[in-house]
Amino acid sequence: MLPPALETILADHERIKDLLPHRYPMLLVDAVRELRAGESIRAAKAVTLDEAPYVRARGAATGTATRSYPTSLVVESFCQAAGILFMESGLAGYDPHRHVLLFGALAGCRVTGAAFPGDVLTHHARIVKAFSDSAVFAGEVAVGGRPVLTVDQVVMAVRDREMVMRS
Amino acid sequence: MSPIELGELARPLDAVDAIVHRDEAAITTVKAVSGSEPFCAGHYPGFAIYPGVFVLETVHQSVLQHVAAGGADWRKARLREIRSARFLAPLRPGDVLRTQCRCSLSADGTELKVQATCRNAERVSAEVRLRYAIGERG
Repeated sequence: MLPPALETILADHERIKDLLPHRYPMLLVDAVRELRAGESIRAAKAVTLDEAPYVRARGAATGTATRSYPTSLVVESFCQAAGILFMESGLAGYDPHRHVLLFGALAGCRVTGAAFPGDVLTHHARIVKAFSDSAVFAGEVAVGGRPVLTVDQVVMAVRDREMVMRS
Repeated sequence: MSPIELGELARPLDAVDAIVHRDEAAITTVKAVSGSEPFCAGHYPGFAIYPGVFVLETVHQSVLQHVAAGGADWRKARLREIRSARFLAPLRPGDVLRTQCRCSLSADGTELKVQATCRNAERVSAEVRLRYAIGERG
């Protein structure tokens, strides 16, 4: 039998994969630390040297800025954490085989720091407004208590795959 | 015009294939969304969509190309804010993303504001506004 802590961790991983359709190399949430359905989520993503951005980067860096984890992926990881919160809040009648989660809009997203391989991104996302098939989130991303990104507003929407395919 | 190599930059993909126009105040780039890009396997399995954040990445790399083409060091341009982004239509393999960025540098040369319109054929796929600090290499 597995120790209870490990059982929780493994169940958590399966739950993340049940809720998010994303897979390697685009599944960018490793663990859910705290979840309050309808309210907020804390989730973690470890940045590793084995990921695509670092496989792609070549040669000596002339500064740390060029080796910081791409902002686009910090945003994606945050949105995936928000997506888990969305699904766990039962707002969408979501079926991962039929639906797809789309990034609708973003506003006031400030980059205040950088993350590097070895760092853990800690996402804190809150639901600002929820509708039947979309929701507005706000939040922050921190590394070791240091904020690296603040987000005033992200809009995510659930859409039928068939409709996206035809659009 | 060929884009310069962003060799040392940690980036999820090369998000600009070519520069089709560039002047002091603007750059237009193209990126063909290919089904053989690694992201397709995971975003999403059996149903590839160019991630919205990769549209942001295409705009970002277009801005770095704009800075480099102006004779400055692209490493000094640091993304500080995604002021807004609206994703209007998802892109799928076979689509070609055409990104037009209007770039305005502040009088003291320390801040760059960018307004980008991304089209797939004639249809607007996304609108993005970014702000950069232009400073020393970090």
